[in-house]
Amino acid sequence: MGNILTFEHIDAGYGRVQILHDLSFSVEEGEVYGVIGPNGCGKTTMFNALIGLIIPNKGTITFNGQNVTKMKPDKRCHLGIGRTYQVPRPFEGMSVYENVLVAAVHGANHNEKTGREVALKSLELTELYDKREILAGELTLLDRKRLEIARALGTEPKLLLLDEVAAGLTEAEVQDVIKMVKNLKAAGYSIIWIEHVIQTMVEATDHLMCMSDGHELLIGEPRPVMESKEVEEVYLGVEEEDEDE
Amino acid sequence: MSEPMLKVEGVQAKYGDFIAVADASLEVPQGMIVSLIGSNGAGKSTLMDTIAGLHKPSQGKIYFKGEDITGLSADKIVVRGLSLVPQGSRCFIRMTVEDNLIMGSFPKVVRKKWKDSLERVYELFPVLKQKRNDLSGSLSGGQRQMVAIGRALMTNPELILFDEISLGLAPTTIKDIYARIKEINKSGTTVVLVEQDTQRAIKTAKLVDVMLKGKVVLSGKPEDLSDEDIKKAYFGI
Repeated sequence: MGNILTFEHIDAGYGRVQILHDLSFSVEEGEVYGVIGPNGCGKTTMFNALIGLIIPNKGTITFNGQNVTKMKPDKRCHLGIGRTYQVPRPFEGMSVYENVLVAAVHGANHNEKTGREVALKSLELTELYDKREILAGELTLLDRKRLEIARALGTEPKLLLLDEVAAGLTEAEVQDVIKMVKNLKAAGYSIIWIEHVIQTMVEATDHLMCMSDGHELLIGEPRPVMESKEVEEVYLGVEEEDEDE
Repeated sequence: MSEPMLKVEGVQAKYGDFIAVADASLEVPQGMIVSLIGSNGAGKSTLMDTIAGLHKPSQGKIYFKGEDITGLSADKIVVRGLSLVPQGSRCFIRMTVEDNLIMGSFPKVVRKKWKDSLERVYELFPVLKQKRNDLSGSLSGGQRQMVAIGRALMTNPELILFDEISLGLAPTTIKDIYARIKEINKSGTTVVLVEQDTQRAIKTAKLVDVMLKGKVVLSGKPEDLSDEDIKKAYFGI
């Protein structure tokens, strides 16, 4: 299969602060692509550049064969890029179903009839179908995370961006998330997954990129990447000569 | 063996139903520097906030000098001799350096000795004496961190928790601050360091604890822990 997404030499940041430095990587259609890296390395900024919240100063972002580098976020959403956020913020006073329906109607530009079908399919994929009438504000954390994904699916993405969906969950719940991501992959979605829970990256991704200082440090199959000296050094540091004593 | 100065037993701490600390246990012997390391999101800062009384645990026990301090508020814990230097220094930026420091002596039990405490802080950080009348908002990041440490020292604590003090600071400043932490420890104060700079944390400490997904998964003397042990505990794979 071909690439669904390509970042080529992207420089991007906020005002004068440049966060991404010459970042290049590509995601194959239908794969789960993991992204790790220490705090401040630019993972979330990469997502912001990908969905159009910030426009790169340099480089090209190609999505599904189309140059989207300077495209507005709503257009990218309609093209098929759907994002979840680290902290789920559903409409708490609306039902689970209504939350996803909003995404399907406004994010994917469907009429209400088609929107309903898309919303129900999204709820099935995220195992929320039986809870569709519950108010979003009454959901557990795991189910709020499921809903966050369901809302992104409601926009009918070709590429789904997951931002730390395993954070704050129990080990059993993390396994549920891994299972859900595998199901989404089997359903044909391409996925980029930023996560600090490394176990998820090793178990569920096809390729893993470790970022450092806004740049790709290492890209490859997950276990060799995690076992590499480069990744160890970027997380755990390099032992310096002792000058203190 | 004498009782540890701080004992954390099976602590769980949550934000709503988000589990930040799942089941953390650790011991801090008196007089020691203990480093707590772990990746982003492992629960280190929440554990520090919970020990210091800024966050209430949903399970578990915390003992300080043998006394149960679980769930006590921060002001009650501070007067018992346990202070926190929070991440990001959190100075009152529109107040002078000296006023920030004096605020540290607000608790009644230490208020009478505030002048002596202030002199000790100025001995440790002479630059703060030079800048005593400057607004703390005008200081560099490193100097603001010194104010935060000084403010914690104003209560004459027996145990200080340092949360990510090196974050965003220049390497020479970090080295300087770490030298001061060693001085603080030599003067008898027990120290817990939460650090993302893993190598520095390991090098400074007599005991290292590694947190992963809200639990302390590895604990030991730095010389007894191999790089491989630490890597496995840190990444959990």
